Parts: sequence; structure tokens; C-alpha cells
Amino acid sequence: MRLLLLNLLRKPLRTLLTVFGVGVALFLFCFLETVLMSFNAGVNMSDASRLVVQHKESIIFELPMSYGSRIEQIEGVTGVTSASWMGALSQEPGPDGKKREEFFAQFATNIERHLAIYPEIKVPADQLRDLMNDQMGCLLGVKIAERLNKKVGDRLVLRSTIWAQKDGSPIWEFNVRAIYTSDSPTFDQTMMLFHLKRFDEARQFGQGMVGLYILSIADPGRSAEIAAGIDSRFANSPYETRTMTEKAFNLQFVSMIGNFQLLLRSIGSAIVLTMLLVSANTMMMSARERWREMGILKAIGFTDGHVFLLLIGEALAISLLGAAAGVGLAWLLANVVHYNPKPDFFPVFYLPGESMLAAVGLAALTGFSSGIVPAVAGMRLRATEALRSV
Amino acid sequence: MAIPFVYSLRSVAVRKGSSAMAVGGIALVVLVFVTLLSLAAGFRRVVETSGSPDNVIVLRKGADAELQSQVLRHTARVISELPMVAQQGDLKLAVFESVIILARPKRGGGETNVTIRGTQPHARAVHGEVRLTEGRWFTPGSSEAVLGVGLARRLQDVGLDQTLSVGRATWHIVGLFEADGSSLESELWMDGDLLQSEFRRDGVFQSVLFRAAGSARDGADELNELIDSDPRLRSMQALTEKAYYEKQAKLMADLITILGGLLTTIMSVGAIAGAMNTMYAAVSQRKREIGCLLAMGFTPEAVWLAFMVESLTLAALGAVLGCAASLAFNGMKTGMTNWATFSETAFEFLVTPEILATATVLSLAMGFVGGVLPAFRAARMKVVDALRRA
Repeated sequence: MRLLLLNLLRKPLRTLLTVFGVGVALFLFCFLETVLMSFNAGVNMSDASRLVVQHKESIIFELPMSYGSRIEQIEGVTGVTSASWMGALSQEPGPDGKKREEFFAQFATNIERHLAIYPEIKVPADQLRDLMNDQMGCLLGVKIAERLNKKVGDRLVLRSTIWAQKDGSPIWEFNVRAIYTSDSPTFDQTMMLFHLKRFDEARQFGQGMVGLYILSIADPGRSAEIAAGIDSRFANSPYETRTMTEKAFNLQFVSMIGNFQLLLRSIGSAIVLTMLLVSANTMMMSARERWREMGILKAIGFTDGHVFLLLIGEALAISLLGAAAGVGLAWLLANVVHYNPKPDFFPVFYLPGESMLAAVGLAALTGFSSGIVPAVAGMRLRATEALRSV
Repeated sequence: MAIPFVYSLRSVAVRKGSSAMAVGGIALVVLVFVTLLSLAAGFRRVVETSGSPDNVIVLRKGADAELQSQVLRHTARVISELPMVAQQGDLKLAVFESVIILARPKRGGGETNVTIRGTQPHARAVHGEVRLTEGRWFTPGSSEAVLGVGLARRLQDVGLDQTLSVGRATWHIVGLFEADGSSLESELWMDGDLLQSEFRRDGVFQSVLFRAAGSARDGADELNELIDSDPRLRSMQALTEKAYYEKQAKLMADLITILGGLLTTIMSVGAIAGAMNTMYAAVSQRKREIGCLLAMGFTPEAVWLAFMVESLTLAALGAVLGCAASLAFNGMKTGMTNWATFSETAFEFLVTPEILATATVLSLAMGFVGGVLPAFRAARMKVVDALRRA
């Protein structure tokens, strides 16, 4: 053990550089995992007991409001809410005084029904009461409230890219009445919810229609059957539906990103490969330099096993130190400081525990495979050969 | 006197394993860098070639994309009669267009959103870049459609002489068109009136596109002034077609640039650590050699230079390898959802000479930074120490 430590410290600069190299690679690995995870955020936050009903042909077409009560009557459905995509950008002055347009998700909905279906959304009771008493009110996720620098009681101005008010203006104003949080780190805390009634009365066109229905079911095992039941109910009507699990619905958006994800995955593999190369390189170099020493160790009675452990232990130590540094930094950035390179594109930016474990596992694997070649060579080394002068 | 160049080259060749790994590390950074930049360049080219420089597009105020816009028939008529609209004989060069998106299965699994554009018989007079490559143009008033070549490549079971069924309608694809690689190539075009009645959107267009009589910029400016004063045009906005497409691509281009920048920065830091390690090891392995060189009368500067040349050679080899590997991606077709239009845009990786040059400079910089400190260590060695037996 002491020898191992001394070996690590013998060339501190080299050890440091290697640890640094491995650390950088694992940091990148974690960063990419976080990006991939945020692409999949919608899928991860979906619940098997929720179904989504959209227009059969395309998500841009709306469904009649009357469908809500008809869906509710279907056996197995425990609750229904609707969501209409506002597609708006905030119109707030940024720190420099210039108008800054921030993109985030806003939905017009029946808030009470919506909260019943999304228990993940936690709203303080007094704020909820104020929200229900103000038709101009809105509910903001805690992360978007931070980004827009809004508190309860503030005014929020949005420009909708889709909906115009009766006078043709795309500008909509709201009062921030409540802010929600969530216990689940994967749940999107950058959404805004507001009253469907006010939205429907104020908009220039599209009255009586909603974008989607979201419903909860008692038994997730029956989701396919219930979905088919809903679709057959509205078959051959002017507005045919397509019902799917919330997960399948969100997967539609993930599949749109398509190749981009594959690209990031390939980059991730390239990085791991680089890491292997760098680390293996160093291990082999330092082993080669120490042939004579290994010979001496053996000559004074150290076993083959000792030498093997010494060399492989060094490789493992280096890569695990790198892992500690790289993964630690990534964890600190993503989960503690909440750094987000592009908050409007990544509503959830979070490094999951499994990815951290995977990174540490990768480091161990790298250490092992880069140490195994010199370690086996060292083990097989004969003292006489090693000590022979070059 | 300088140490012969050949010394540095041979040194690289002698330590095959170690050199190969340093070169490999740098090559991977170069590869990732070039791939990301070529992705961005390919996407940018689609944007740059999208839209004719003479055209102006009119949308509802607040809408950032056609899909979000609504232009009523009487408003569209008013616009087409304006003096800034160019004329060809009796024909006013303005088209009223309807746009919807539909989810269709794509090749290799998954779904993609397809943009369907309903247009008018004289569309090609305004969309100057559109050329028929196969088959014929659709007959007005019939359920025929023409397909962009980019989309034809990416869709499952949809091509020339095939049909596309949506709801109760079936459209026959009678022709394929290209449009200078622009995003129009990712669309399906058909008769506008038919599209509107099929999706119950009678009398509602998404945009009016016209060829400006003068320059497109002047046309858009004049029209915007008119919009402020003419109540018939209230809640409309005009912008040049070029500006329209640039605006749309911004989110995606930003994302690639930010991710690419972050990735390359972190990766090159890792690769520099790797190169530095290799060079330090080279210096310490060749201690005696350096001592000999110094003893023979070569100046420390010459030794420094020799090691710098060695490091730069490694970097150059890495650059060549990385660039060569990246060429495999050149022209590779891919597609990405443009979040502004919610539909998929087909484009190809575009490796330009500028990107390759930037990558080479980057890798030489990595070689320089990685080599400079080890080279100093070599140059500062004392002859007696270096020649002393270990």
C-alpha cells in the first residue's frame, strides 16, 4: 500500500496529468449524459397511469372542448384535464435593460383538474387560493420563476407566437399568483399554467377547442384497452383522436431530435476511447521505466502477485481519482450549482445517479484494462532479466 | 546549430505505441470538432439557401413561423394587390400558402413531422428555387402532390408514384422537386384549396409570399409602414424571406454552437494533458540521449526546438488522421427537427476547407501547449545529471 502511494507520488506531475486527463474525460461523459438525460426528460417524467389524447392526424390540430366530459365517462378513467399550448415568449427586460425573449412552456388548462392529475406539482395552499380567485393569474414553476426573476404578485408579459387576443394583439399579460415546486428532480419545473376560461374568452379564434386531453386511469395495466376505447368512441367524427400513454406521447418529441442523440452518443464513446488511450499509455510508460525496480522487488522476495497488485493498483488508483474529480465536478455543476448551458432548450438539466455510477464503473474498467497489460508483464518478469543492464 | 529535423521525426517513429496514443487522442478531438462544425455548417447552408433574396413573406404579427400564423383570405387579397408586389404580365407574383404538419413514419423507425404546403398553381413563379426533377407538377384541384427530394429520402414508403393517405384523403405523388438544398426540399406540396377543405381550414392561409417589385428589404419595410396605417392589414407583419429562415434556424444553430464549443474546449484540455504526458515521458526516457546531444555541443535552444518539433509532429499527425476520418462524414444525410417549425429539415454534414484549417490550427495549438513545458525541461537539463547512470 505504501509502495503504491510512493509510486503515485514519484512523478507527481505525470500522475496529476493523467488523473486530470481521466477527470476531464469523465466530466465530459457526465456532461453528455446530462444533455441526453434532458432530451429524454419528458419521457422520464411521464407516469404510466396517465394517457394523452391528441388529434389523430397531427398535434397542431385541436379537439373540441366537449370531448372532456365524454372521455370522463369512459370506464377506468379517473380524471381528465386539457392543455392548450400557448407558444409564447417572455417580454421581460433583461439585466442590460434590453428586451429579452425567453422561451418556456405555457399551457392553458383547468388548474384544479390539472393539479389532481399531476400530484408532482406542489403549490402552497394560500397561493393556490389566490390563483383560483384571479382569472388573470398564472402558476409558474420555481425554475422558470427564477429565470424570469418573478415573485408571487409580479406581472408577467408574454408574446404568443400562436394566439392573438380579440384585438389582434399577440401580447398577453398575467399576474403571478403561485409558484410550484416538485420533489422529483426529473419533473419539469419550468412550465406555466393559467386559466383556460380566460384564455378561451380572450382569444381571437379557436374558441371551444383545446390542444390535448390528459387523463389519469386507475389501472396502468389497462392503458392500451382504455386508449383504444377512447379512439373508437370518436372514430368517424370530424375530430378523430389518437390516445397514447404519456410516455409514448413524449417519445414523439424525443424521436424528433433523432440523429442528434446518436451523434452525442458517438462523441461520448470517442471520449471514453480517448480516456483509455491516455491512461493506458501512461501506465505502460511508467511500467516500462520501472522494469529494473520490479526486478529488484522480486529479487528481495516480493511475489509475482505483489508486483501484479502494485501495478494494477496504481492504474486503478489513477483512474478512480480521475473519476472522483470529474464526476464530482459535474455533479457539483449540474446538481448543486444548477448550471444550465441553454435553459430554454433543456427544461430539466440534471445528472442522474445512474450516470455517475456508470462513470465510476467506466473509470474502474479503464484503470483495470490499462493496468492489466503491464501488470501481467510485470508479474511474468524474471528478476535476472530485469536487472540485466541495458 | 539546429538538431536535424529527422531526429524529431525518428523519435516519433521509434516510440510507436506511445506516439500512436498521443496522435490518437488528438485525432479524436479533431474528429469531434470537425463533425460538430460540419453539422452546424450543413444546417447553416440549408438556412442560407432557403428563401429567395427577392421575396417578402407576410405573417400574422407575433408568429415566428408559418405554422403559427393565420392570414385570412381577404387580407391576403389586399396584400397581393399592393404596388410592391412584382408582376409578370397579368400575373401578380404573390402566393397564398397553407401549411400543416402531419406525423409520418420515417425510414429506420420512429416518426417525423412532415410539413405539407398547400399552394397555388403559379407557386413556382414566386418560389424561384423550386425545380421539378422527376415526374410532373400537380394538377390544380386534384388530389395530387409533389414531394421534396429531401423528404423522399427520409420517409418510409412515400415516393414518386406512391400514395399518402391522411384521414379519408389519399394523395398521389406525381413529381419530385428540389430547391437548392433548402428546407423546402423537406416538404410535400399540393393544391391549397384542397388542403384547406380537407382540414376544415377554409379561407385561412398561413402566409402570403410575394416577389418584391424592388429590393426585398425595401418591400418589407414599405409594407410594414403600410400595415401600421391600413386597418385592413392590422396584425400582419412583413419580413424578407431570407430573414424569416435565418430567424427560424437560430435556436438550432445556437444549440449546436454552444454544445460544440463546450465539448471541444473540454476535450482539447484533456488532449493537451495527454500530449504533455507523452512528451514528459519522452523527455525522461531519453535523458541520456539529451545529455549526449548537449555534450556534443548542441545548444539548449536547439534541444528545445527538437522537442517542440516532435510535439508538433504528433499534433500534425493527429490533425491529418482526424481530418481524414471526418471526411467520411462529409455529405452524410441527416435530419433534425427545427423546433421553430416543428418539422424535420433534411441536411447533410458539410466539411469545408475552413473547418479543416481551423481544426488543424487547433491541434497544432494543442501540440504546442502540450510540448512547450516538457521541451523546457529537456533544454534545462545539465549534461552531468543527464549522463549519470540511473
